[in-house]
Amino acid sequence: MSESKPIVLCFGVPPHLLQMGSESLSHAQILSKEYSPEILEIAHPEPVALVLCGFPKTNLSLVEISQSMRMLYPKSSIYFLTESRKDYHRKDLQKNGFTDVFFLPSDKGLFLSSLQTQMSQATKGEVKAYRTVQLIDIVPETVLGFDLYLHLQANNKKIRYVSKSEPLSLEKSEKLKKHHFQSGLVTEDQMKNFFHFTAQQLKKLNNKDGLSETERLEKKARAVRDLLTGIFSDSSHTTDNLAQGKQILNDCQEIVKAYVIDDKSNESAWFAKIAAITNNENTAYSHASNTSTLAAMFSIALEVGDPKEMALAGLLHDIGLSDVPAEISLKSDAERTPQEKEIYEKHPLRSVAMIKERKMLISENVVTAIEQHHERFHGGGYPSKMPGPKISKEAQLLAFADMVDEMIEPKPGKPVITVPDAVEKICTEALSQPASSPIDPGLLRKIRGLFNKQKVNGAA
Amino acid sequence: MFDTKSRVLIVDDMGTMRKIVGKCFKELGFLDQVEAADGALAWQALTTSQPPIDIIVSDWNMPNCTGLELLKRVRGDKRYAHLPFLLITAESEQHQILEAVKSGVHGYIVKPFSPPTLKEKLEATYQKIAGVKKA
Repeated sequence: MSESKPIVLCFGVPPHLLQMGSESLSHAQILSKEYSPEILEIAHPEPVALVLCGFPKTNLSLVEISQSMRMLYPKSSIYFLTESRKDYHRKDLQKNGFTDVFFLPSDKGLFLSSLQTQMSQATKGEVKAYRTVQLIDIVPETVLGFDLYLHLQANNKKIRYVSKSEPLSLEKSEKLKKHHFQSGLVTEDQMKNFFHFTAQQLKKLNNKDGLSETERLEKKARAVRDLLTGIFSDSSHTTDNLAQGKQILNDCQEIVKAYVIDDKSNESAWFAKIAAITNNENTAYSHASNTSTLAAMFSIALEVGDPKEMALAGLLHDIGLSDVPAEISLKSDAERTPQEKEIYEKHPLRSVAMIKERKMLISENVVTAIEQHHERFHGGGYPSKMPGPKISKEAQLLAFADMVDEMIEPKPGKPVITVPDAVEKICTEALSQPASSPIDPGLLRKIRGLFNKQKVNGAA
Repeated sequence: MFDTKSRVLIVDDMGTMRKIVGKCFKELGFLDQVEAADGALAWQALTTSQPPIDIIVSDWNMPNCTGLELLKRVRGDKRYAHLPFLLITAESEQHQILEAVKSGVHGYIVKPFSPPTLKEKLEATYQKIAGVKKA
């Protein structure tokens, strides 16, 4: 029944990028073409659900493509997919006509969820699109009004856990806690019911102006994406680098203030904030966002470094990865060739270089932490194989936050693991062989002590 | 409201955009079209075209001579000062509109646009010109 499938036009999109979205695109009729002046002048005669544009190999400019496509397909979503920072100015391209611009692989998660949404709309809900919601927003024993789904990582399946006419029972709620679920899924078309539900709950708590945790995380993810894609953009066209650097730094500080360290971020709140972290979005932005929160909260609890500086380091530590080709960054360490390893292991230096190129006036502590966040206490880290005592305390804390977030990263077949469990796992492994510990064993003992104290107090 | 027999000068450095804008004009019945890839070439076309140009539609952002520079040159020459002049801008250039209005542009269209929007803008432009003539 290919006639009834929605049409997706693809211009100059490399096959491996189309493959990335194959699950959603399997519901569409794909018409793939290379760029030519004709395709920018004459619209496809049938209704088009989505247009995907790749980087042009011809002398057509991106502005020309975005404006022409928008004129030809005024009502369709038009996405530009790129793996290169060259000519990548997300906001400018959006103003010129593209609906969104995805910088891959950093934007992979967002690209896939946007594709899913488009396919869901084009098939009138036949294809389901899901949005992640935080379970903390769902009060048990109240009728939901929306179907709550769970993503089972073990078999990569989605199941309906509670139907919309039922409440989340206490029994089911306990089961979720037992299996470390912190987030669930709601279909796109039922999200307004979810927001109505959370608004009612906030009203009951007399918190009319407050945000649900789901909304807060969505806003945070958008802010971090805007920040990082702004940094990724090639700055060579900007004449006023100092002003640009100041603006980026300002945006970083706004995010830190709004989402990482607020007035409640005192010693007693650090654990709750850490324990609430999930990595269900699995994007470069959620990694930056989580590492930022983890580093800042560890800094508060351990009184190591300045929490705001640590939050900043967490946001920026991996920006240099945007210069590593996708075919290298997407591989695991074991899969990389020695040459690929050499390129990959320079990313901390690239992060620092990007900060300097953009004239961001950041303290030396932050720069050092970013530069050394892959150095290891046993001396086997990169890029300099620096011996333990020479690695700054801030860099070690950032490295620890980075390792924890990597450990909670969801992967099909991998059991769900919470932050406290990840901390315990890293500490146990490292402290069983202190000579080969990646982080200063003294620091790890202190971290473990903090978490054990929480367990004794019953917070975990 | 407007005469579709008019000769339209379409100025844009992007060939594809000239074709798309030309197509929009064709859909409105304007079949007599002349194209130019920048302001300098547009001036050349304007001064040599036979029959003469009746309306100018120009992109803003072009190398050599921008749409605004072309507008100022057209308005500064009494042979062409009366010609209807529409500027096409991208959304990102909208903040410059005030300068174009001060320089005597009749109207502007923000990309992307469709033939009905172009028709609306053309009608408004001719109305504006008719109003000025009456006054």
